[in-house]
Amino acid sequence: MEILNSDSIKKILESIKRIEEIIIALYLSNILRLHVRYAIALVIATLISLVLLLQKSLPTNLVRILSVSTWICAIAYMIVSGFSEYKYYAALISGLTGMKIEIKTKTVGFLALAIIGSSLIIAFLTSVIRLLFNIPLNSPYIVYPMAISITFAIYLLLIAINYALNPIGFRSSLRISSMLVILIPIFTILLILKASPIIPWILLPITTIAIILVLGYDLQNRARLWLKEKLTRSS
Amino acid sequence: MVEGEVNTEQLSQLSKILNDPIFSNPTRLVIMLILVMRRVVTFSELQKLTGVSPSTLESHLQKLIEEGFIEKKKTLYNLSVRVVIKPTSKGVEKTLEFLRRFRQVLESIELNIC
Repeated sequence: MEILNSDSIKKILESIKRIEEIIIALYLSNILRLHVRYAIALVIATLISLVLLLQKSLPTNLVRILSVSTWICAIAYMIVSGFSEYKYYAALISGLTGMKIEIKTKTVGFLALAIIGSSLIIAFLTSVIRLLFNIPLNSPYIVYPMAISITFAIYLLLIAINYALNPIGFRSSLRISSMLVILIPIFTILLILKASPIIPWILLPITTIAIILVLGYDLQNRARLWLKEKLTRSS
Repeated sequence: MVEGEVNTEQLSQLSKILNDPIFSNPTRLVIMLILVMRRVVTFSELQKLTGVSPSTLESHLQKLIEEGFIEKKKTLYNLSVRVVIKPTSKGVEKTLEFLRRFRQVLESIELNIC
């Protein structure tokens, strides 16, 4: 018990606080890195889709199948990498603050199903409209709603993951949802103007990357403030 | 010296924390802190960082694996297949929980002493 004097306690406390600070800093940089990985996955998927779209010699159906498969792979990669990361973050936050965080796997599954389901309904309705009014498949009236449907499915899936798995992701998820509102008029204008089909393929990755990076920075800032508050309260 | 103001409850809390079956050993605590920060390390890296002999390190790792704090995996690491050591979610949580509880007890003792 000789070690229990004011100076030694101060030194030990300083060391513990320093370790905690390093761990928080690492945690924050990991959040950002994860979102950069999301953005890279989306850029690669978009580039592949774009290259496929420009290959005039390939059959249209093959292009569509390959393009959709690329997007599915990109989304699957994001879900898998995000899930393991968030499990680690949840353990970090639980340990640092004493809060018990449950990984709401069921919620994520339910939300993902609901999102994919609603997206499929949009795609189905678009197909019905196409058949009823005999609109060609490559018409902007069909291509853009389909693009919007797929985009919504991707964005909402990311929001669902952030909301359900991350304890600090709620406000960020709301912010992203509000950002989505900005996207709707952009696509509507494009649809009305019957713009070149290439434009959404350029706009999509730019807006997606921008949103993901904003979400990354936003999460990082919120995480820092939130953890600082929790650590101050716990001590 | 222990000042008169430090109560027995605080001392019993401190004693409980310091007698933790896993973290009472400084080497194991250092191993867990390295793993929480680095996320993945090879055996040789861990040996260099901790400065203990391979047999001692192996026995500590075995104890941590038994407790479910870490896991050993064969994976691609720096372009070659290596056995790496990773912390589990439980390991990360318990290590940080230990640090937090230790800090809280020391802070309450410090308040009484000062």
